Amino acid sequence: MFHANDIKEWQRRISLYDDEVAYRELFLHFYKPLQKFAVSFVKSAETAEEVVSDVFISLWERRQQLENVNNLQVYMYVSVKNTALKYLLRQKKQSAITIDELSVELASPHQDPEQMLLTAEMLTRIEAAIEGLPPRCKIIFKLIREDGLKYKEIAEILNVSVKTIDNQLAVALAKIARVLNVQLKKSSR
Amino acid sequence: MNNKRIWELIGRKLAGEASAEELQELEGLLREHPDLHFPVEAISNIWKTTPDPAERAEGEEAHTRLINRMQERGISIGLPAEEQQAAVFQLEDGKRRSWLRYVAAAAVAGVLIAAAAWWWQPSGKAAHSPAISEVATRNGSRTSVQLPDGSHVWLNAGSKLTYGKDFGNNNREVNLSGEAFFDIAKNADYPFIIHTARMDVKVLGTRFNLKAYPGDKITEATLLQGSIEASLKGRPGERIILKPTEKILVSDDSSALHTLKTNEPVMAVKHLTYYAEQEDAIVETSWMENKLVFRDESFASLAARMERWYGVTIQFADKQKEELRFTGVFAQENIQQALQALQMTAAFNYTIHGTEIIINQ
Repeated sequence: MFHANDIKEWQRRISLYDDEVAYRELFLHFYKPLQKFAVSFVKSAETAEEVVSDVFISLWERRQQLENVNNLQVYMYVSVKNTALKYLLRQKKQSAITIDELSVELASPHQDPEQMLLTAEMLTRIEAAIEGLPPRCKIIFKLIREDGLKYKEIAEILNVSVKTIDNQLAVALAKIARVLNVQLKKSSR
Repeated sequence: MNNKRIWELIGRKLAGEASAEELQELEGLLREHPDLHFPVEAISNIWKTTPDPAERAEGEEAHTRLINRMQERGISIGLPAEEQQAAVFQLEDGKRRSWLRYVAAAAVAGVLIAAAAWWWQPSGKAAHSPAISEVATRNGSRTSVQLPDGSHVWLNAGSKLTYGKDFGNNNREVNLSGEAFFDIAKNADYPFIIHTARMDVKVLGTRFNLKAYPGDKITEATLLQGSIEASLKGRPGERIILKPTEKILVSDDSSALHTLKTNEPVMAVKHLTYYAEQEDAIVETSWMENKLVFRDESFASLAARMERWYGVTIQFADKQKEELRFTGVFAQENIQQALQALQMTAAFNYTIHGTEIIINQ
């Protein structure tokens, strides 16, 4: 899903050549995942866009130093997280928000049940199961599955251990499997 | 049975994090748990998400809003279509120029906007030495650029403009090779200085054309508005102040202007040339209207301009033809039509092989 080489190339072009085309590509690549990530914190699509936009503006203004950023992906997610937390603080809604208080929105699945060897009903139940995961579990599940992030990257972004990621993903998958098994028993009866 | 371990391993496999040993371990565990085959297969099937195509469009809209926001904050980025229209070059009589057509043509012609950077220190200190930005056009194409200080520069074919990364902070100095029209943003604190091989031009805020192609015998600055101060390379003490509608010509080839036998640059101040009855039909800036205008110009000189204009090479098999003189305007004509038009007033033949043109008897 992510093309590390593309990102590296855009990063270099923005930093060295003030390349607006690369900046646009980078934005288009990261906008939606980052905006959704921001929504988890600020719970509003508009504010989330503002957060991501702020991060991109500061990235452009500090583009000369961009070459020194080791993992731009992690840098972007962490910047979005920090900017979102600052927003919350300013709005005095909350002084801080923990990973267990995030409201994670998942991508609507674009899947054809027939191709998945599953009934539409089963897919709906799976979605409901994922939707019902606790925030910590859900955000980790989402960042791995939808955003294609590595365990180490997520650990850095969310400030959790790799062990936590192992655990949380296992919990999520086991829960989905339970739904599937129930369905299996129903249909084989 | 340790189900948790299985799901951890499945998770790692799906995430692309599993090592070879872990994959082997998972295979063994799954063999012991046939009941898990169906859910594991089903989960693997639904694991991959396909990106929603609407998200790209959403991103593009957000990008437009981002750029607008940045421009509102005064950050120099993205000159959108509306701004390009607003920046339409106007002469004093306020007549609008066909800039959009020009911009489109430049895009089609494959404008090469290269931003190059290099470092000064050969010792290899990777510190932040000032890098250099470069805007360049190939022969046959033109482009426009907005500099960090808000000044606009239109680059004619086969030209190069460079400036340091600190441009706009405490200096406004650029280097030009080729031809460009400058619309300089006013800033009394930092004069805008353009360096060319033979002449430096210093301005405070004005509009003028500067032509300094490396192969040309003459360097020329034509002033339309404001005032500029020119100083010649090698004669730093002398400063020539130009008034609107004046132009300065500098040559290092004495025969081009004078009969003086000297290697020093030779300079002359003349009035700009009008190519038609209208007041605003100025030869010197006609390239900005996508026109190639020539008035009593030798074929040799015109051929050099046509080379840049059309991105071709022109050679004279018959040297006598170089002396032919032409007056006219090319606008929409392609190179073949242009040559045919020239043939109507003078006797010569030509052959075209790709982009190579040979003029013969």
